[in-house]
Amino acid sequence: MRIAIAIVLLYDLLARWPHVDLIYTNAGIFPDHFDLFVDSKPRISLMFGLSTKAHANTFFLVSALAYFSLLVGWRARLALFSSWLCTVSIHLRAPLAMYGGDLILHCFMLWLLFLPVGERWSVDALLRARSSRSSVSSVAVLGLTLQLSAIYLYNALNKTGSTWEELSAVHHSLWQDSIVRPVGLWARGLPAWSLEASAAGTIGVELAAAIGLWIPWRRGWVLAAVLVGAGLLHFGIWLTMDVGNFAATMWSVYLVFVTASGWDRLSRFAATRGWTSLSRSLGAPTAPFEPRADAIGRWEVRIRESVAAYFFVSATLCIVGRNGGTPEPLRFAVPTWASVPWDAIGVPQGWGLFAPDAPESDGWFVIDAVTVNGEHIDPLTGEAPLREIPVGYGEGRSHIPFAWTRQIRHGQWMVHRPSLDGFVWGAHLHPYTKVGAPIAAYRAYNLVRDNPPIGGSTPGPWRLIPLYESHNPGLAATQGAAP
Amino acid sequence: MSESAPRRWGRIDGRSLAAFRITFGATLLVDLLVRWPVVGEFYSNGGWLSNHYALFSKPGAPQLSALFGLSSETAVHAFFLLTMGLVLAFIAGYRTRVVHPLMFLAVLSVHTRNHMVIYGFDLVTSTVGVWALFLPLESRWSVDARRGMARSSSSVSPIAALGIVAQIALIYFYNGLHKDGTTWRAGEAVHYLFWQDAIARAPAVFARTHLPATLTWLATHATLVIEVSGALLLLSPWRRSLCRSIAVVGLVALHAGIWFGVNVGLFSIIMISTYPLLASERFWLALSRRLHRWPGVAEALARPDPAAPEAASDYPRLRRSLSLGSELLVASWAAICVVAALTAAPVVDPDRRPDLPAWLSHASAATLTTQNWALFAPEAPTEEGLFVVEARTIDGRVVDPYRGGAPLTDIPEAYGAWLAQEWVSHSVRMRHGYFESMRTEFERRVWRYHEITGNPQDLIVAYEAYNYSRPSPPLGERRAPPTKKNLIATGRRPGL
Repeated sequence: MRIAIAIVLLYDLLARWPHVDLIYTNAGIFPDHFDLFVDSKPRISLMFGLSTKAHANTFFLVSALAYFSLLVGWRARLALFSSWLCTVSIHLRAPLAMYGGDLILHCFMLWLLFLPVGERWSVDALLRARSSRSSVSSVAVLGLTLQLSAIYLYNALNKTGSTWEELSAVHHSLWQDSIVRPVGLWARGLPAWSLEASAAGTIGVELAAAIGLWIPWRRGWVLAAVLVGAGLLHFGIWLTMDVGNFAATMWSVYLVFVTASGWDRLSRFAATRGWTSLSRSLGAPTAPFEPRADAIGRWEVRIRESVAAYFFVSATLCIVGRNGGTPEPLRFAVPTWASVPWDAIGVPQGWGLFAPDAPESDGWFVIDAVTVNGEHIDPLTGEAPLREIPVGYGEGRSHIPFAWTRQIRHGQWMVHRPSLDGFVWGAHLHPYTKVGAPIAAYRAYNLVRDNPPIGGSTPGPWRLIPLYESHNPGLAATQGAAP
Repeated sequence: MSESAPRRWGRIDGRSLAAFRITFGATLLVDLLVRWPVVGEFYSNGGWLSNHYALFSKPGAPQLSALFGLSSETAVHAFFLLTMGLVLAFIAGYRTRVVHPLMFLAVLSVHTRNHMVIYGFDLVTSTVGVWALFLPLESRWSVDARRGMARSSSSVSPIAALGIVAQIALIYFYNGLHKDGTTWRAGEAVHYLFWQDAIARAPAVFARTHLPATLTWLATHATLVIEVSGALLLLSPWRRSLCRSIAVVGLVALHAGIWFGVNVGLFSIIMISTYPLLASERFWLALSRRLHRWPGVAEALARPDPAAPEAASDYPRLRRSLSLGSELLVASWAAICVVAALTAAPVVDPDRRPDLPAWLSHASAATLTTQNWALFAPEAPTEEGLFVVEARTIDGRVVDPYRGGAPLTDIPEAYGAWLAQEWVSHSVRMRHGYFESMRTEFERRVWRYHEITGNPQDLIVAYEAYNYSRPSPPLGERRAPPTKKNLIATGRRPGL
C-alpha cells in the first residue's frame, strides 16, 4: 500500500502543478490571508505563508521528494509523515479545490501512520539486519477497515434522492460534460435498462462491500469477492468519468486487505513461472521476526495503539453522528474532542459521492470580463467566455477546476467574491492569465444545462445564470462598461 | 600519532553531542513555557496579530508556520503541547532521527507565526538548529542509544561538525564587528543599554547611576573584545582545547553580564546551551575525575564513544550512495551559509554589498536563518520609550487596553525587567514605524477590549496611542531628562 499510495500522491501532485498560479498563490483566486479570514476553523497546512509561485513550486518540489522517499521506502516512517503533512498542507491551502478523493487520501494516510510501512520492499529493509514481520495486528488495521466500510456504507445509504430511486443516477452522471470521458460519452447511448441496472448495481456493490469487509468466515474468499466487486465499480467510474484519484486511492487501500495466504498464492504463482526473485519478495519473510523486547518498545506499542484507538473511537463517532444515512434517533452532535482532529485534516467523515442525488444538470463557472480595450475574455481560462460546454469538455482538463468551479457556482462565490474581484482586477499583471489589458468590469455566470431524461439523448439548452457583476474601482471611467 | 587539524575540526565527541541535545532541548522547552502565558496575546486570532493579517501584511515574504492554520487560543495551546512533547522526546533522545526534524518544524512554526515579535533567540535557534539536523545527537545518553538504534558519533559529518562551530563563532564575530557606532567606539554603549528601562534589570539600574565611567568604558570594550576574539578562539586550529576554554570562559562571563543587566529573553541561554559542542574528550575525562563521588555519572562521562558497529547490510554501495547524498546536502547548506554570511559581512561597503539571490534570501527568511547578526548594533539605543494607549470607555473612564489598567503617565524604572520578550519586541516595533501597517489589527483588538475583560462598561469609544520617549542621560549624569508624549495616532470606534 505504501508504494501504491506514493504513486497516487505523485500523480496528484503532477495534476495540481499546472494550477499552482491560479489556486495556490496570492496572484490567484484564493489568497492565503483571505482564505484564513473567511474560514477560521483549525486547518493543518504549511502552505499558508508561501504565497508566490516560487514558494509554492518549492513546496511542491519538497513534497515530491517526500513522496519519492515514501515510494522507495527510505526512512519510511518519516517519509510517510512528511508525505501526509505535505499532502494535507497542499489540499487544505485551498479547500474549495478539494474533492472526495482527497479526503479519502487524508484519512487512509492517517491510519497508515500507525503501521510499519517500511519493513518490506524498501530501502530501509535493505539497509537493516532485522527481519520483517509477516503480518501486523493493530487497531489501525481495524481503523482502515472501519474507514473503508463506512465510505461504502454511507455512500450507499446517503443516496436517497429521486435520481437513485428512479435509477437514473448513472445516466445523469454520464451527462456531466465537465468530467465525462470518451467511454462515458459512448455509454450515454446504452439502453436505459442497462444504465438503471448500473445504478442499482452501484448501491448493491457499495452495501455488499461495507458488510463484506466485516465477515469473519472464509475471510480470504469473501474479501477477494468484495475487493474484486468494488474494484470493478471503481474501474467503471474511472473509465467513464474523471473524478481524480478517487479510484486509484481506493485500489491502493485494497492492498492492505490482501491476506498472507493471498500473497503466498501470488508468490507460488511467480515461482511456477520461474520468477524466483519476485516470488521471494512476495513470499513470507524467511527469518522469524524479532520484536524489540525492551520495556520502552512495549510502552511504545501501547501508546501507539492507544492513540490509534482514540482515532478509531473519534472516527466512529463522526461517522455515525454526521452522516444523513444514520437513522435519526441514532444521530447526535459529535463532541469536539472527537471531531477536532478530523476537521483539522479536512475530513468531516460525511460520505456521499453523487448523493443524495446525482446532478440532473451540468454546469461551469464562467467569468465574462471586458478589458479596457473592449475585448471579452474569461481570465480563468484566458479564452473567450464559454457560452456552452462542449461535449466531453472535462477530458484532459483534470478534476481540479471542476472541483472548485462547482463549489464557487453553488454559493461559495458569495464568500469568495472579494478575492475573485482582486484576482480579476490584477489579472493583466500575471502572464499566466493571458489577459493583455486591465479589466474594466466583469459578470460571473453559472452556465447550466439540464440533462435529458433517462432514455433521451437531447439535453436542454445552455443557460447563463448571472451570479453577480463587478466594476473595477480603479477605473471609474468605465462604470458603464458592463459586459 | 596526533590527528591532523582537519580531522580534529571535523569531529565532535559523542558526549558533547548528547550534552548539547539536552541543553539545547531544555532551553527550547523553557522558551515554550515562557511563551505559554502570552499565546492569547501574540499567537492566536484573539491577540494583536491575527493569522490572516500576519500574511496580508507581509505580501510576497515567505513565512513557514503550521500555526497559521490555527486561529483559536485553544488550538494554539494544543500545538504548543504537541511541540513540548516533541522537545521532551528530543531531550530524551527518543526516536531522534524522526523527532528532531519534526521538532525543528514545530519550533520554527511558533517563531514565525508573529513577525512582530521575532527576536535574536529565534534566529539563533533556527540557524544552529539546521546545522544540528545533520549531527547524530542521539549517539550517547539517549533512549535510542540504550535501544541500539543510535548512530555512532564517529558517523558525524565533518562539514556539519565544523559548520556548527563556525556558525556559533560567526554569531559572535558579526555581532562584534557590527558594533561600530559612536556609542561603542566611545565606550558608552553599556551605559546607554543600562538606561533602557524596557529591558534593564535591577543590577543595571544600580550600575547606571553608580558605575564609574572607566568601568563602563571597560565593560563596553570588553564586550567587543570578547565577541570578536571569542569567535576567533573558537575556530583556532592551534591549542584547540585551551583556546576554546578561554573563549567559553569569556563568553559565559559576557552572557552572565548581559543576563543580569538586561532582559534579552533567552538569547544568552540559547547561546550558552550550544557550548557543550565545544567540549573535547579531555574535558569530559576531567569532569569525570571531578565527579568521582558519583561513580555512575563519572563512569558515564569517562566511557569513550563506542566504535561504529559494522554495517550489516548486503548493500554497501547503496549505503555509500546514501551517505554521499547526505554529505552533499550538508555541503549545500554550508555553501548557502557561506554566501549568506559573505553578503552580510560588515566589512563590505553597504552600498556595494551584493544582494543575496532571491531564492536564497527567501529560503533564509522562511526558515529564520539569516546571517545578519547585529544585536544592539551599530549603536546602542540612546533613547528610551514606552508604547502607551489612552482609551476612553463608554462610561467615561480612561484605560490602557494594551497593558490593562490605567495608562502610565511616565516610563517606570526597569518596567521591562522580567517582561515576556513578545511585549518588548511588539511595543518597540509599534513605537518605531510599524503602527500604521498594524493599525487595522491594533484597532480590531482595542475595540474588542470589553469582550476580553468581560465587562460591557469597558467598551472603548476612542483611543490615543502615544510613544513616550526620553533621551538617556549622557555618561556621567544620573538624571534622565523629562519624558515626552508623542502622539502616534487617534481613533474613534466606528458606528458610534
